[in-house]
Amino acid sequence: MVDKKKSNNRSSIEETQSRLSMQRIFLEHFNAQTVEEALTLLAKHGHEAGLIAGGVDCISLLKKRVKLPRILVNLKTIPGLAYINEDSDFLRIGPLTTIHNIETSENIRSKYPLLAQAAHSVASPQIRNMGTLGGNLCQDVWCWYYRRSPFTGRSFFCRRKGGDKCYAVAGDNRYHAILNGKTCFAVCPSDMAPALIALNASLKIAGPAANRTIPLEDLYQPLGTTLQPGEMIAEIMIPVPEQPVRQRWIKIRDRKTIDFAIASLAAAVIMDGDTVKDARIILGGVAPTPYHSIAAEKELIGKPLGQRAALAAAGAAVDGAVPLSMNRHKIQITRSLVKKVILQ
Amino acid sequence: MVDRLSVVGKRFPRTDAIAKAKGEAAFVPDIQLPGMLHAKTLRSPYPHAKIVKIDTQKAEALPGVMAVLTFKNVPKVHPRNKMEFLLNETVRYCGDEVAMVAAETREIAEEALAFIDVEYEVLPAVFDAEDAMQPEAPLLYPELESNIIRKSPGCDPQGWIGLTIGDIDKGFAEAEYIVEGVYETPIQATVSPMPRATVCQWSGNKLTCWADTMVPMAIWHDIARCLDIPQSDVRLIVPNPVGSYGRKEPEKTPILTAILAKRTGRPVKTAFTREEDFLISWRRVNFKAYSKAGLKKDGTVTTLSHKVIANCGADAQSPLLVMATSLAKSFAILYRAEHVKSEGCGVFTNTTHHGAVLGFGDSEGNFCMERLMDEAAETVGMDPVEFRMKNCVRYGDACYDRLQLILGKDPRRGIVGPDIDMPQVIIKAADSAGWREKWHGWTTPVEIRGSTRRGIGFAMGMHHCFYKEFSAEVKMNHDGTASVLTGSVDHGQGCYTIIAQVVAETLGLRYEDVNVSSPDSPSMPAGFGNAGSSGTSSAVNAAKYAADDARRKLLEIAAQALGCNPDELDIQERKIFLRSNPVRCITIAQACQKGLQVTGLGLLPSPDSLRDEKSGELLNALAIAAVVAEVEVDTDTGELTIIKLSSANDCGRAINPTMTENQIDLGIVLGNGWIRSESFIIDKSTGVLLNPNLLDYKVMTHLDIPEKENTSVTIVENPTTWGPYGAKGFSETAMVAVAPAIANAIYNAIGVRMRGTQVTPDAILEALGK
Repeated sequence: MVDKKKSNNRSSIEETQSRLSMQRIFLEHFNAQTVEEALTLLAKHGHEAGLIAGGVDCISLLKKRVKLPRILVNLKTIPGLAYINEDSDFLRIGPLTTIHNIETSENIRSKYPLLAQAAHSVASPQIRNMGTLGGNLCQDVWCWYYRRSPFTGRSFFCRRKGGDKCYAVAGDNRYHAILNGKTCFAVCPSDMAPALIALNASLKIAGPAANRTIPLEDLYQPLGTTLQPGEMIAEIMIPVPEQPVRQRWIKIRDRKTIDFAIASLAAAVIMDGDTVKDARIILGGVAPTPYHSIAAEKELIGKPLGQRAALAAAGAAVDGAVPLSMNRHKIQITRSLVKKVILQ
Repeated sequence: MVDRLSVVGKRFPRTDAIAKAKGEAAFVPDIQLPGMLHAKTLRSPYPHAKIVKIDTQKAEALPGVMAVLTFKNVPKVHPRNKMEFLLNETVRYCGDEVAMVAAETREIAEEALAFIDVEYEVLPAVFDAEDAMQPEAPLLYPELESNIIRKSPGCDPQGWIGLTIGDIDKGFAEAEYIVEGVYETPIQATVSPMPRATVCQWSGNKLTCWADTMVPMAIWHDIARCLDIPQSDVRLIVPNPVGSYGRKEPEKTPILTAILAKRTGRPVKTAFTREEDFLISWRRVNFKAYSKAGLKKDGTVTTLSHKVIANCGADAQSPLLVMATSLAKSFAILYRAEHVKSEGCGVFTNTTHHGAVLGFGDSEGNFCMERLMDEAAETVGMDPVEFRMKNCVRYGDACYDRLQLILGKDPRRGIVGPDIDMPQVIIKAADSAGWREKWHGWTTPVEIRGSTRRGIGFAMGMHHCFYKEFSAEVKMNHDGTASVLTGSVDHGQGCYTIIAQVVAETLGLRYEDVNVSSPDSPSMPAGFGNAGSSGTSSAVNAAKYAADDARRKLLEIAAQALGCNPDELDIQERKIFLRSNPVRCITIAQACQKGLQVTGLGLLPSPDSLRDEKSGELLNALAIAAVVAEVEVDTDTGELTIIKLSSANDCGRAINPTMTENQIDLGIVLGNGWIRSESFIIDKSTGVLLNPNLLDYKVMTHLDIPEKENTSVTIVENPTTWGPYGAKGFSETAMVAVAPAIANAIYNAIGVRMRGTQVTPDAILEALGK
């Protein structure tokens, strides 16, 4: 039961935000021809500019008025941003490469199966045809409070939008974070991010001053990405492994297609004989960012893969997990995923 | 005659398939009229609030805005079966209509919503039915002094309605075993492939309305009544309606749209977004049933008692009808107990209205009943299939009527007909599932492998298939083809295909010679449309009567031309000929030309005319089904996989087996989705429906139900005495046993009873204590 409240119980700022977002949006749309042109437009318009590639995330955010840019810079008109190339050091993927092309690339399937498996698990064929790798990595969270359209009656001016509350904490949080939740409890929705981080991927970022390269892991922070205004992803680079890497992707979701992960796991393990030489365990769907479980890795490195290591790593992976009111099951599911991956 | 059917029983492609597949079929949202305006709705942010002040001046001043409606400037009339007015001073759920704007473009209409100033007095809200029954609960309708719906004559002063057979106190006192449990059922949205839309245009005092509906006559009448204009001044056109699953009954949108069109003097279109369609579409009622069964040691069910609490939402389409359906059928007669008391009460809460949804009460009732009966079978240590065989409903059993129940009359009405052979349906489902090989006894799963457990479960079910007054016309054209006018719709279920097959068979025509027109009110014969699996039982049946009438007239014309008696003639292959000398013939086209206007009129006789030949008792139109589910549960992750589903359904006769199978498939998909993934999630702190979209509201996909080779669909054909070629409606019945079969299979797999609403991974893990 909800108690009786005064009519001003919703903060006026929320009313104002909701009302503002219902107004018509007038967008200027630019077809960028080069990365430099796109960067110039971004630099010129700052926070008012947004990027559009596959449009899967962007159009949804616009329609639901979650984001209200005034300028849209189209990257699809820039030639040469969709590619999968391998040189002696890196597998290089262009930011506009579609998820479908990653899923079906022969080279990726044979040498980086983790990536192909993760790509195959993304959404639906239609979305994989449209969605790009850059877009997948930078997509906004899919929290149902954050994404709510004002045309449904009310939207939520939550912390992610500058408000003072995460509505999921007292609300329905069955899909929210069990680890590292603090400001915003929405989980990082990307399937490609955990898989790429498990393979030690880094990003080349193009910006107003110069290009910079960061580990992909550093792209994420609880309220979004660490991309600065005016920056965009220029390339995704995966180091070519020097020794065979055992790779595995598992994603648990409500249906066998379309859905985001309740919990997912990207694992990359290098063996030395019967013992683990190196391991990377990255969890998806459980934290505001891809969750790199160093604790689980520690339980594996230097040990043989078996029931004992599996149980220890599974326990370590969810060490420190704090469930919200409705997502305790995610702890059990995550633990099972880690166990399952190691035992297979 | 039945032996040499040439059109009925064949797998003809649907009449509408090609146009729809090629994108040539036009739907209501496709309609564009010169000068047409677009309407948008301002919706309530609160689950319960009073509108203290509403100011539309700024919105009206916005260039392009042509009219704004609020509760202050629309007539105070109740749309059909509603407590509420068209627009209300009090909003009773999140998303409820506050105001409606018509503007030159959809974008302007949307923007205008932001300029409507509303001051609300937020009232306390209640979402759970049992909370709403408490004396201190906030009242949705203070004038009723309770949230418990008491307005039906059949209700006792506390709002309970129900039926009593025998004496349950005696029954429980004598019972050798007693089993009891509390069973809950989840809400389900209807999720039509097309969100609802309507277009209204006035010409002087006459209104044309294009609507997407399953009951054209009711919506036609309701528009005229609410607008207080003669029904003859309203032309209702229903072009290509789209999948209703129970929900496309009359509602207020066409009426409000007509008012906007009148005020502006322009045509107006209202087309809902997917989100709006979720918010305002009525949803499946949710039950909490306190159920108890008394048994003898030999497994005979002697006594049943049920107290059902139904969460009806903020307003309701005929509030207690859905619940009364289950009280009279699933809870009362599916098992032949000597003593039965099934009663229930409906409760208003600050959630979306409930209404008709596939299965109409029996999905909910049966989900409770068949879980209880599984527990009962275990208690007496009987194989669940044998247990059903022993106790199931049979021909000659007394039947009960929900309407009589609601009206406070004696609910007893006639008997279960000779077309009901439940043991046969049970055996067919069990055999096709390989039950005997797979059932290893109670608490023994079919298979254990690592963390996965495989289990098998059984359930049966029944539901009505409306036989109700209905009419149709078959107009013979001069080239010998037939045009059928009907008050029914084809919203994807295949009703017009079935009509075409039945009419062609009766008139000796080919399937492609018959064209069925969708309703346009001036030429629409009376008929209540497609509800309660009525299509085949009533609409197709009326078309058969009309075809019989046309046939009679054609034979008379031919008899005159050939100089013989009509009873010497037969009609086949587009010809009417002398049975003794087929060379003497005229074509149907010639007979049509001679008759100028040969029209067959079909008026379905009253349901009270259906009598059992043997006993003379009244017959009831019922359909039955049985389902076996084989499932696999991963006890580590709570994941549920359906390995195999075997569904046996009796439809009297499969007029088009492909369509029959399609309906069984639909029952399987909806039955799965209802309890596995389609969570209707209402935020407990704000009352907001959190998932009004197709990403978060998870309708099952092809990958989530077993593949074709693991879906066994068995069609049983025990012809009725009253249906067209023995056929009857059954499509809702195809859903009712799916959910309990899955829940019972999960029990067999993991040894924990799933009595709650859904069987999602979190519910399964919780049941396992993980």
